[in-house]
Parts: sequence; structure tokens; C-alpha cells
Amino acid sequence: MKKALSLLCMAALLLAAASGCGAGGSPSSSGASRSEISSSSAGISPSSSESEKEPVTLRVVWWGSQDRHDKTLKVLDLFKAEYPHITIEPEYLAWTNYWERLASQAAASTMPDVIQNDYNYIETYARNGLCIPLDSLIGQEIHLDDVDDLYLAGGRVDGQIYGVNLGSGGPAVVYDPEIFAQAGLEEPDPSWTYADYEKAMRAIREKLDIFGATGLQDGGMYRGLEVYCRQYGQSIFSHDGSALNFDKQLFIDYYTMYTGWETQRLVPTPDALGDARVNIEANFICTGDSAMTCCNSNQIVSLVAAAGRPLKMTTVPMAEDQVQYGGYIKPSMFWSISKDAQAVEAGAQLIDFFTNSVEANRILMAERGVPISAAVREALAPDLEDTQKVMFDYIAQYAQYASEMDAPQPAAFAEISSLMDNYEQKIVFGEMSVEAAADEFMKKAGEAIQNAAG
Amino acid sequence: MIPSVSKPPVSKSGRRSVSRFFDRAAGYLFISPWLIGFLGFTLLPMAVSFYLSLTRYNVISPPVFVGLKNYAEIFTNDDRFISALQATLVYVFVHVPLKLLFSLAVAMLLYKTGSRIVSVYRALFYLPSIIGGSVAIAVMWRRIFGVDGIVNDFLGRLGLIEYEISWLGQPSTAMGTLILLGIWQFGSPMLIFLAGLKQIPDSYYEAAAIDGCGWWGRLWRITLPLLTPILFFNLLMQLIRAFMCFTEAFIITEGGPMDRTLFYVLYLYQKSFKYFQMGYGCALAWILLAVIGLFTLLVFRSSQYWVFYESKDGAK
Repeated sequence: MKKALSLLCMAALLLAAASGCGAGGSPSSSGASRSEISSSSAGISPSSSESEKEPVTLRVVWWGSQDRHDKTLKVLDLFKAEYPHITIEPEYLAWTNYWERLASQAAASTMPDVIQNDYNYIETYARNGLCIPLDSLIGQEIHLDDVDDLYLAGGRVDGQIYGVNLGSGGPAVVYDPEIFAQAGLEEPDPSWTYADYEKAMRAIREKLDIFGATGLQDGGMYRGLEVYCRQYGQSIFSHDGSALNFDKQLFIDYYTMYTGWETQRLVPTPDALGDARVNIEANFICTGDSAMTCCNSNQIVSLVAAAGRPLKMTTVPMAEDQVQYGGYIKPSMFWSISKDAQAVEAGAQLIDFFTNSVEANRILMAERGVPISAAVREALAPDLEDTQKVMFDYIAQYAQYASEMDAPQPAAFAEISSLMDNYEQKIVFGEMSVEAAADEFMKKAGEAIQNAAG
Repeated sequence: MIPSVSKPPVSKSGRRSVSRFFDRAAGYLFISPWLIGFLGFTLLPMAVSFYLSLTRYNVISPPVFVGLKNYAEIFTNDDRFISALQATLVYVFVHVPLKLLFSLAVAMLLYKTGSRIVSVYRALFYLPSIIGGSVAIAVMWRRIFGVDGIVNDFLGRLGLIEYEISWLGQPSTAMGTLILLGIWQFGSPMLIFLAGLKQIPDSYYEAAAIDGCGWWGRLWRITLPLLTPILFFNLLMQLIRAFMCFTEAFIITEGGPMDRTLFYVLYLYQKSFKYFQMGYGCALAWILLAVIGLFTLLVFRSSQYWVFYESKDGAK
């Protein structure tokens, strides 16, 4: 009797444990940073045709700053008011661990329905069948009548659209006009060179004893070198991504220039950046520890929000003897629909809402980049604050200071980016000469590409 | 064979075997949560990991079998593997002895101080061990030793430093900072030492005192020898833990500067999840298993020369 009882107890316990596991493993409860927006609690009375629709749950994931999270969540509220039958489960995190998490979800077939995608990843995701072509939805749920084909190009892989552009942008230098005035400097314009940039930084260090800039990319070397190579008509990777595509001498010149700035304390060494490396709100320009920073043009919205004072934006400096402009304008990010999507139709409606709703874009305020719909741009124009105007203009005006964008980066990108940072430190700490670092980097980076390609 | 004789026992043993079956079933049921956990979350992943270590696998497309290529690559052409091994060994060999020494010292202090307040101190000292491995503490550590952190502020106010030191960014200090964080979590070895100290009979000390043995002599001839089994246990646990150190470096230094704090597990993680070379990462994991196994074996083998078991000795 006792035995039977204990057996029964254990069985019950086991069952409970098993069901607990099951619930934990289901895709609806895996997110770390997730809050549920339920449509039932919304005060708006849904129209009769909408309320009859079958309820669906839509999982949406994106990376970004706190500013973006706030804005996007607000838009999702708005979306839910319009489509009461859709319950949204947002997941949002910082860029740092976004791709690691998404890849694990992809392997486990638990990707959210709608995913924010990047120019450097969209090709890999499309080719591996991880996101679905949207062509059949375009014209149905997704309306792109007001969108110039130019804006759609970046999301096209093998002739099919795998991502709808959320906005365009390019590398830019953001500066604090107030600090420039205090240092007795004129504000920069697109005709400035690396020499002007250095001169400004030195003046700021001497007069105000703060960093001139946070660097040509926060806590990293990739972006700066990329633009530098482009200014000499070269690129980090060859078009098909199978090899490096720049001269060793460019690496030597760029690293000599940049590590020189670091040793003169015009720009911080990456270790000094601390939180600023991963968190746009902690950027030195927001905290007043630096007069300039480098970012994607859309990020000025978040920077100004965090700084709480006006900031301005211009192009990256030119090289004195450059053969072309190094800047470029590319899609900042896309919405894609994953292969695991349960609610494809709802996902498409969400993408359409972000693209075409003037109300939504009034909240988003081009934080992800300049909207792709001409109608939205027009509707927004009268409301633009100076910051946003700068960004809208950036795309229109600075297009002449940009050259054609490079092909998407190959899979070895992350590893090569780490290598660049590593050799930078070895040079700064005097462990290696620039020349030796260049030799070693070219060799190691080549190997990394081979390894990643198989 | 001889049915007439054996019949009654058969029915009896039949009943017994049924009840034994229930006994066993109950036993298995009782351990089943652990058993399922072990099979599903340890053995199966290990098997899969071993298979993956023989493949090229970027997570998003199916794995391709490549044989021992990953292992060959690691041993013949991977500088960062060497850096990672170096960083980990430095951490293990500096951190573990210091931590054991410190926790033993604190345990003896707490043992000596016989008052009620000891239990409060014990809890307080143990606290860092509970929270020490967490992300929050790692973030706090990054702040404390950051360029504008309180360590620099404090030293600056005392006039000891002229420039702010980048503790986490300088190759010479980054590892030290992480080791300090590790030592700060001395709570669990301390508790175990404390328990061990209480096992030593007072009579030994009394006898030694009567014989005119000083503090040092008592420590050296009574406390330490009788504590060696505890020391052995702590050494083993801390050794294995130190080899698997991850969070601290992941959050605080990200392996930098110049891979000085690129702990082995962090490198493994970077390869697998940052560069998406999961097969390579799995191969690294199996090598780590071998390394930890080797060190554990060495400690076990050496134990017969320095670990002293009272009971065994008594039996001799």
C-alpha cells in the first residue's frame, strides 16, 4: 500500500515536472525581455469585422537603444489598436547579443515571426532559407506604392525581396556645436579632411581637456578602416567576400594615424570606453566627455535624446589625396519574416504599418533611418525637429559625398573585426610595430575568411 | 525441474519478484528527475557536441562532416587557442592558491572568534559567493575599476596616482582585477574549511599546549595535517571552477586587452556564437574536458603524498 502510494506520488511529481518542462520549451515563453501587449485590454472598441477575425499571436524581435525600444513599443500599441485580433509579443535587446540569440533560435526553429534584419546578414539568412521571400505579400498586405525601387534594392537577394527597408542612413560624424564654440573652432562641413579632424581634436584637448572624438567607430576599428579603404577606391572584402581587397600600406597608414590619436589622448583607447561600447546612452558625447562621435546617421536621434541638448551631424572626414568619397548610404535595417513564422499575414500587416502609417512614423521619427515611403516623408516634413531635419537632409544632400555601397560582408566579418581591434591594442600598448601588425593581420584575416567559407 | 518441491517457493518468489519490481520501479522513479536531466541535458548534448566537433557547422545551415580537421587546426594553427590556454592557466595558478589561502585564513579567524556574532559574519562573508558570479556583480566590478570608477577616485584623492588608471584596459592589470573578483568569492571554501576546523578535537590542541607547542607549531602539526582532506576537496572544486570561469571575462573585459583575459571558455563561446563556428567551438570544449581531466587526475594522484586521512592512518 505504502509502496503504491509512493509510486503514485512520484508519478504525479514526474508528470508535473515534465509538463513544466514542456511549457518552458514552448516558443511562447522563451524571451528574456518580453512584455505582453494584449489586445483585450485595449479600450478601443474594435470594428465588427475585425473582432470576428481569429486571434493571432505575433512575435516581433529587434535590436536597438532604449529610445528605439520605447518608440517601437508605442507603435506596436498603435498597431494593436488597429488590429485588435493580433496579440503582440515583442522581444528586444541590444545589438551585442542579437545575432547570437537569433542564430540559436534559428537552429531550434523558434525564431519570432517578424525579425529585424541587417544588410550584412540578410543574404546569409535568405540563402539558408531562414527568412521567406515577401514578393507574394507585396501588393496584398504590404503596400509599397509610395516607395522608390532604390530603397528596396538592399533587401533583394537573387531577385526576390527578403526584407523591407526600415530606413536609410550612412556613416556620419556627430558633433557638439556648443563645445566647438567653446574651443573657438568653426563647425565642420563635408569638405573637411583627416588633418582638419585632428586639428579640431587637438584644440579641444588643449582648451577643454576632454576627448576630441570617441573615434571613427565606437570601440572598434572596422568602420573607420572601411571608409578609409573606400576613399582610396578599395574595400575591406572583395565583392564575392572570398578575400581581402586592400593594400597592406592602407592598413599601415590608417593604424599609424589612429593609434597616434590614441597615444595623444585625442580619442579614447577602447578599454576606456567602458559602457559606451555597448550602450548608446553612455556615449561620451552624451556625457560631455567628448566633442564628437561617429555613428550611423539614424543614430543621431537616439544620441540627441540621450544627451538632452542639440547635436549636429556632418560627413566623415576626407582623405587628402582620396580618389572618391568614402561614405555611403545603405539600408539601416529591414523587417523580415522568418521561416518559423506562424502568423505570416499579421507579420505582413505589421511591416505595412511601419512602412505606410504616418501616425506610426510620427512616433518613430526616423530613429531607424529616413522612411522609405515618399508619402510618409512628405507628411512628416512639417513636424521635423532640427535633429531629424539634419538626418533627412543628410540622405538628400550628402548623397553627393557618398559612393556606391559595398557588397554585404562575408561570414568572417565578426572574427576579422575582432582581429582589427586586437592589433590596434597591440600597437597602442607598444607590443608590436604597425608594420609587423599589418603583416600578421593580412595573414590571419585571410585564414579567417578561408575557415569561415569552408 | 522438480516441480513438486519447488512449487510453493515459486509462488512466493513470484510475489517477491513482483514486490521487488515495485521496489526497483519506485527507486528509479525517485531518481528519475535526475536521471532524465542527466540523459537529456548532459549525456545527449555531450554526444551531439562530440559529433559536432567533427563537423563544420555555422548554426544556420546543416553541419558538414570534416573529421579531425578542427582538432588539427586548433593544435597546429591557432594563436588565440594558445593565448586562451595561457590566460586560463595564469588565472588558475594564481587565483586558486590565493583564494584557498584567504578562505582558510578567514575560516580560522572565524573559528577562533567564538562569539555569537560569528554566524552573522559567516553569512556576510558567504554572500559574495552567492552573487559573485552574477552579471550584476560583473557590471559593478567594471564600474568600480573603470577609468572613472571609485578605485581611481579613491587613489586620486589620496594623491597616489596622477593619471586615472585603466585597470581593465591595461594588459598588466586586467588579469589582476579579475583574480581579485574571484578571490572575493571565497565564501564556499571558507564554509567548508570552517566545518573542517570544527571536526578537529580540542584535546589535540590541549595536549600540544601542555607540551609547550606554539601557535605556529599547532597550525603546522595539527591543524593543517588534519585539514588536508578538506583542502583536497576545496582544491579540486576550485580548480575545476577556475577552468570554467566565464561570466567575469565576458562582461568585464571581453577577453581584452590583447587577449590577456581571454579565458578558455570565453574563447570557446566567441568561436561558437560570435563567429558561428560551432564545430570548432565543440572541439575546443572537448579539449578543455581533457585538460580539466588531466589536472584532476594529477591532483588525485598527488593526494596520496600529502592528504592525511585519520581513519586510514589509524587502521595501519
